[in-house]
Amino acid sequence: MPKIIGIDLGTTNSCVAIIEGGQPKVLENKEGSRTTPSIVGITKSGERIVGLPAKRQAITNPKNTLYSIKRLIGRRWDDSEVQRDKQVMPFEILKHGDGVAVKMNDKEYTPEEISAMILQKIKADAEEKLGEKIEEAIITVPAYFDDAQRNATKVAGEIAGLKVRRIINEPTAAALAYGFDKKKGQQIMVYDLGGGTFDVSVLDVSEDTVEVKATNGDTHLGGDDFDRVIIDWILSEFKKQEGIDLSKDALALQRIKDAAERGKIELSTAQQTEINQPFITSDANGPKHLVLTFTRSKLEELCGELIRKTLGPVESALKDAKIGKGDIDEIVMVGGMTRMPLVQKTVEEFFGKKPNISVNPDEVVALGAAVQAGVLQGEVKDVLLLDVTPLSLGIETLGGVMTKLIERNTTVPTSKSQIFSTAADSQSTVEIHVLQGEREMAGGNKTLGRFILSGLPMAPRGVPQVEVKFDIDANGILNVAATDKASGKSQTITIQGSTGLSKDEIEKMKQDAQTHAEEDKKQKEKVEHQNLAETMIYTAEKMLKDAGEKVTADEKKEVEEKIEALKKVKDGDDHEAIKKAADELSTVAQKVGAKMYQGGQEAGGGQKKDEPVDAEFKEKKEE
Amino acid sequence: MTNEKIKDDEEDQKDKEDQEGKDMQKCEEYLNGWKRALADYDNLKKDLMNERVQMRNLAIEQMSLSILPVLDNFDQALRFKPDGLDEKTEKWLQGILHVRTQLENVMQDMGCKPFGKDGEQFDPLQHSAVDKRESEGKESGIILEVHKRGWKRGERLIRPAIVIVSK
Repeated sequence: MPKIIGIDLGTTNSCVAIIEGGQPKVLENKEGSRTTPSIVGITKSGERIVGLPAKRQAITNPKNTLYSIKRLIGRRWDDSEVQRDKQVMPFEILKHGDGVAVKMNDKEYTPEEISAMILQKIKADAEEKLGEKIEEAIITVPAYFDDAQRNATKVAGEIAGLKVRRIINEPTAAALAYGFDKKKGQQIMVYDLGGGTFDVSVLDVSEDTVEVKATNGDTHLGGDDFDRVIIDWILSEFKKQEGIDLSKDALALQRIKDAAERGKIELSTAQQTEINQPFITSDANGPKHLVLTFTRSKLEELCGELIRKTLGPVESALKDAKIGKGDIDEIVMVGGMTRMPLVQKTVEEFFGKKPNISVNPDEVVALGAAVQAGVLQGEVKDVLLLDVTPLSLGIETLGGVMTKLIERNTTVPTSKSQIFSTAADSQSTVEIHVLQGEREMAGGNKTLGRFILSGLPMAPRGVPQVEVKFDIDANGILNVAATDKASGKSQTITIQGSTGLSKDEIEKMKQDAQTHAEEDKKQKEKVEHQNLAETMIYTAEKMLKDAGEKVTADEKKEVEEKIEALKKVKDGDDHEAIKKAADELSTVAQKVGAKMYQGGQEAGGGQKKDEPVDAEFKEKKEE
Repeated sequence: MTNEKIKDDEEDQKDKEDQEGKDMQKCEEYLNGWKRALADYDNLKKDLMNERVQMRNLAIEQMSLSILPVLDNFDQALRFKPDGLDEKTEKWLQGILHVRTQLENVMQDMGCKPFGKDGEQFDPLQHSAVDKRESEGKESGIILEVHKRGWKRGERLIRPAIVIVSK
């Protein structure tokens, strides 16, 4: 069945996605980017270019480089938006019947034809990527688009050779990407701060439909305005420092633009960044360097006013929808600018709840369109739903630590096994304590069952090999088997419903793990240090016993002293002291060990060929 | 045997055959599902292999993109080289230039090659224009100055050359 693509035909950038294996996935364009600038141009040689190449030649050819065409599509000549664009756009906008046309290379085109050129590129790149022909698409439009604008968008799709199966609203697509269409009776706010426009919509999800109850926004507010205030700040700082105005220097301005954008992105995660553009210009005194510290608080001070401006439309939309901000169940963030922490914080403070930002805000609309495409082509239906383990599964090991065998979120059916050993000499039984949860220590997790494997042959600690195997079948039934490799003795336990926890239980256990993460980590470290210390003491004592007469009384005394020192500190909380004592013991023990080894070799070397090798040396090797 | 008994037996036989048919159909369905799952897994392994190669290429590209501004700034610094340096300073500068060469070699070792020269025809598939200027005797669309060289890795464009073009 041919694939249907979902297209977010944006004012600044466009994005395309498909459903693959039941999941929406963004398709990269030929240039390897996940979004394509919605720009069309014609080169001097008359060649038509779309996307990044068109953007790159914009400055050389502004009259023949068309952008923000979405602002014009389906509009009437006397629309105020058209009249405004006519003043600011570098290309020519003409009257065409009641509607508009644009001029490129002395030829008139309707906005539908220009949008079709963008769609054609998207279609061709998607076909190349998928290796199959694409004939159908779902295209998104802003919720405020009227019939004429929707029809014009559909026509654009058809000119591009696509059968437009549906025109869907951008906020609806965003909600679909989050799966919110399944949350009946919910009110959803979609906050879309894109490159050049700001849209806000209130959605009402009912039994069969997602209804747009209200929309609002600012058609001339977006990421570009944020970039501009940052660039202006950098220019003014440089002027303050060096007395030179860089705003007329195209090359310097280009570097500042790049630096401003990089700084803005870096400050989404860091608190501070450096704008470092050496040799930006020069005067009679020599070269000048642009070096500035750019902090998040400065960025927020610069952009705070622009962000506050978005709250007006939010309030208006709520008023139009006749609901209060407390009635909003979910907030969906769309558009690259919503990555800025202050934007998220402002929205969170306004609504008193965290907005959804987990789906890439540049791609969420296209992904939602693909979800709708998946429903139309029936792909979503036939998917065999596979369960995952909601929490990790494992067993308790030395010192009360939980050792995970199957990590959280593993798709079932699955099986994992691991070899364990004994903690004491001549230990004849091992207890398998099956646990579920995310805490580091066994005590904090849920016990699913326990059993004892007995009849292990007598052996020093660490020698027996017990294989523990966890197997979860497709129904979520967990089988745990423990097998002693030497004797072949085996014991199993079956636990029903290891994946069947309620959502609340899972959440609680996950949250517990998060709240106790630090304390658990400390506890686990302590146990690990203790285990290490005990192993060291055991090994050293055994070595002394095995060495017998080979070590001098002084050496023996030295090792024994260090063993005592380690025993004294091993149960305490001072990790450093344990580590220090363990290191000291290790050093003296190694000295004695090396001597024994040499002694063994000498003894071995002195023996005749057919005599057996020194038994003590062999035993040492076994350890 | 009465006619009725024969009829019952025939019906039983038919039911049995129906059931067998259904069971066979189910078996077929499950077998197909299983084969599909194995095929999906096999394909996933191949996809992962491809993805690994892509990831590696992407990582190299990202790495080279982080190195490029440093190299650009070396070039930018050279544009500002003062005239009339004494011999000692000139020698020191030669050393610095060797450091620049080392950095360029790192880029070349990663398979990246620079391009873009003054006088070439502007091509938006490879060049990005930041300014245009009048230039006597030159037709329009010719690169007057390469502000930053472009870089390619194989046939793939890592960064277009940033240029000034004739009006």
